[in-house]
Amino acid sequence: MKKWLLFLLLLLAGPTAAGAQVAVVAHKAVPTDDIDVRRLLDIYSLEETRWQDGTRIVPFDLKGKNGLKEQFYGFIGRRPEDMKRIWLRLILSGEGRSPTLLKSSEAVLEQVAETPGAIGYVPVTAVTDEVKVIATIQVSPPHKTEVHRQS
Amino acid sequence: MRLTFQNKILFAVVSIVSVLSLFLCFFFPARQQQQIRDSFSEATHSLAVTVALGVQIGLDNDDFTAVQRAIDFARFNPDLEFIAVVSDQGENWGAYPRDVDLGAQENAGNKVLIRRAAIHTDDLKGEVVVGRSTQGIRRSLRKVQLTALLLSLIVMGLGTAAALWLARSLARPVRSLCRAAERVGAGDLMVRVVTDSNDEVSQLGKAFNKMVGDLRRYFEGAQAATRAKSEFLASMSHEIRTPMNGVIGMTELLLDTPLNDQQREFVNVIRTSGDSLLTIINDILDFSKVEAGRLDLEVAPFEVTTCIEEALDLFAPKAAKKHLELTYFAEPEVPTAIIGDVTRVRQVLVNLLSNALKFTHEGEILVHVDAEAVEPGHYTLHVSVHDTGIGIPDAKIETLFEAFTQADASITRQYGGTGLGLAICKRLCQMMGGAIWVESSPGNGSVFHFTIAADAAPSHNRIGRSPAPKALFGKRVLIVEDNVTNQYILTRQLENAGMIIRATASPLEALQWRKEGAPFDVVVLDMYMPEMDGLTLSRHLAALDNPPPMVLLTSVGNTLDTTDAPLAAGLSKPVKKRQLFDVLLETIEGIEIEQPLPAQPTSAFDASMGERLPLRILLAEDNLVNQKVALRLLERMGYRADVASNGVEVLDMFDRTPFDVVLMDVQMPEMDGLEATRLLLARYGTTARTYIIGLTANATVEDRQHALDAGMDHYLSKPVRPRELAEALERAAGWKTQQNDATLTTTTQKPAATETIMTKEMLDTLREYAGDDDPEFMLDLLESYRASSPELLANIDAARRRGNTVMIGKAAHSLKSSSAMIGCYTFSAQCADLEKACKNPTPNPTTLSALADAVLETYPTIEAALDALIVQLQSPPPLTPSHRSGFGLSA
Repeated sequence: MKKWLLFLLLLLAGPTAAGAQVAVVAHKAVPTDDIDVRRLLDIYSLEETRWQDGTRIVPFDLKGKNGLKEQFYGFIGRRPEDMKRIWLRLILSGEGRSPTLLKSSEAVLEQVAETPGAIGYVPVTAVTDEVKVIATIQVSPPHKTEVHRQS
Repeated sequence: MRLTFQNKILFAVVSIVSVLSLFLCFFFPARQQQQIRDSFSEATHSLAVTVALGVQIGLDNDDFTAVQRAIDFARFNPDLEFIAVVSDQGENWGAYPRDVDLGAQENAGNKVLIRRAAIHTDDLKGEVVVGRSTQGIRRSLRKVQLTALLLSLIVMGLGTAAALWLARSLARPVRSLCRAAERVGAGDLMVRVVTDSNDEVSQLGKAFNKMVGDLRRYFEGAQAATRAKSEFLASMSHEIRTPMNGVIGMTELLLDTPLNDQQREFVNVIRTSGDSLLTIINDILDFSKVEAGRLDLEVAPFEVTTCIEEALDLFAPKAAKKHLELTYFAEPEVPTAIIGDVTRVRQVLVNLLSNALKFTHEGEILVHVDAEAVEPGHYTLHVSVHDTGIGIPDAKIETLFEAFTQADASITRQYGGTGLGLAICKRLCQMMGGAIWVESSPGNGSVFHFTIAADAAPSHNRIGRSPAPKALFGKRVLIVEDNVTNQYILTRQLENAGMIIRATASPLEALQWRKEGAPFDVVVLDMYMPEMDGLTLSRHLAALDNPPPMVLLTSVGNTLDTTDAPLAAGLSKPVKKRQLFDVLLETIEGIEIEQPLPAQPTSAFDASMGERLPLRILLAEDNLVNQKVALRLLERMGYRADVASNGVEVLDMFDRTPFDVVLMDVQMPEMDGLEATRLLLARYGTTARTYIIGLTANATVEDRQHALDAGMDHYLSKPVRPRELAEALERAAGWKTQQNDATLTTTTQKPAATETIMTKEMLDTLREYAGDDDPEFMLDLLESYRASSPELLANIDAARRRGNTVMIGKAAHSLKSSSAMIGCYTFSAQCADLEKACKNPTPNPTTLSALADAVLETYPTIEAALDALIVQLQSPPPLTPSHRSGFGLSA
């Protein structure tokens, strides 16, 4: 089903720009090959902290404002401010640790490849063999993405 | 505030230390606490800022590790109560702990300290609120407070200890200085203060030591000067006395030779001048002795009236010559006899009388005596001499009693005198526990008062109360006397005797009364009266019916032809009470009362004395003039004397032949009289002893005591008066026979010896007081002693059992005096010992008991002797020649 969805997504995004697609990548040892958007939100909201096999989930994020980040946040349906508030509350109460925010996709790739239990997002075009893609987000112009997500 | 020096220092230092430590206790911890609070508050604030910074960076730069670090850092803080991030709209952006109730925390008061730091980002405008628990710092604040309290307590304790030490160490030398000063004040000039440090007190001590040292040197210097002065005066007066002896002695001898009237007058002037010179020398000697405090007062019983009468007798002729009334009156409460120094009392009185006579040209001189009992047996005797003389201006009264001042220099020229008399009187009165003062104003006469403290002689006391013979009681007497004082005195005296008095100043009134038939048993009339003289009055009275016997009062020295006057008797003024009573008794009752033979007024020499009382005499005298005088005097008495010029010669001559009498000059070269006396007594003391009469120019009590201590039997002061020498020789003769008797008595009648001697001793003593001719008085005295003593002894015994030393002392004192009065000297001494032991503040009970036993055991012997004597007196025994020739006072 996921494959279907990915396929659908790729299908939808295909005609616009191949570089505009976002890949959710994880460390190779992560026991998940396929992740849905709710789980992704739970992970980035720091509500889910462990993979199925009990390894710690280490999420990576990107600093600042850029298209990739917007596409990803758009995908999980949250604004970056909302995520910051969530993180701040959790950090303040000592209940969780915020995702590590890195400056570039290369850094994200590198960190995800090296850190067990890591998860991050990069442009599809940048994906290497060092990581495992567990989801690909077909990004369309904001309204399309909106539509697609709603569908 | 009444604090000692030490306590003042202590108080000051302790208060300073207390204030300091209170400061320490509150001020310093307050600051420290403030610092602690400030730094706590700052730390809290910076914590808030740190967190706010972290949040800001986190939100702005997407760097949440900064937030993480800030939060981690904050959570390490142990006092952290909470952290909260709040937006300006009051929206909660997260907190630690997650569910912290901010409102409740803000209301928690001082338990939580809250600080805020602002955040300003695109996402969030708000602040970080940090709360820290104050429990920790409150604990440390309390710790600081406690530490300070403990510290201040320690400081206070140490401070007090230091203050105590300081106060002690400061006060100790000051105190010792104080004590030293007190001792110096009390007259101890040997005091030294220890000055071992170099502080101010020590310097003060050094100065003090120096001062006391100086004081002592000055004092010793002054003492030495006084000593030197009085020694100089004494030796000067001695040196003057020696030639004076020549002058007066030779003059006496000269007067005894046939002289024409002019020569006799010249010689008389020489003699009176010599006498006054001698008086002056005596005054100076007296004064120097008094000044040097070397005058010893005698303590012996004497009769007050006798003393006064003797003084008055001296002035009676002079008063008569100036036509002055000389009277005296003793109030009845005056004790008959008191214990004191009769010579000194008489000296004061004679001085005052001599002044009164000197400065009074008409009127009268009255001696008034009263006494106030301070406590039973102890009196203040008050004598006043009233005159109607020129008086003394107020300004002069002040200096009157100072040495070498007289009211006026011109007065000195007019009236003579050394100006020492009153100064001496003042000192004498002071020494006798009294005072002297004067009331006077010019033209109104003077009243000189003096008082002395005196104990009544026991046993005399009672006798003094009833001296008036019973036969006079109820008799009617008419007194005709114009002098108010005299009339008053006569009235008082006769009233006291129980007589019924009618007195008048007017002879005419007296005659009128007689004409009216007023009955009288006796009339006492004065010779000199304005309306009519006594002789004329007596003739008028005699002319009337049934005339009463009459007694005429005359003055001494007035020779009146009374042979054809109708008089029963005559009395010379000043009238003596006893004489008055005797004459009245004789007149009214016809009782013959033996009058003592008047002393022969003409020549003092009895040329037959040598035959009557043969004596071998040795004269030891180094001064040639004095030798000559003495030899001549002795020759006039019918004696030939051998001469030795020093003590060594005396001893040599004694080796050859024994003498009955030695006239021994005290001061001689080679060996003085005292030494010679001692050696003589040592050599010949036990067998046929010689009667030694000391001769000296030093006429003082101490000198006499030295002479008597050395073993001399009698003592004459130079210049030697013929009468005194005669008396001394008579005494020597009497002593010689008595000694022979005594030797006999001791060999034959050994067992009764002590009793006999005691009886004899008593008899002699009594005769000295009472005179030979008053066995009644003697009996009275003995009987009262006999009656009163057992009670005193019982008191001693009782008090001893109760341990009441004061009681014993009182009884012993009483017994001591009365025993001495009747001549029981040994017993009196025993009583004195007991009294002395009682006065000891911590009496030794065993000694006391032993002394009391001695007194109690001796008394029976006395009693036996007394009884024997009383029996003897009741049936008058023949008197020994020595007593018949007696030198006792005649009453």
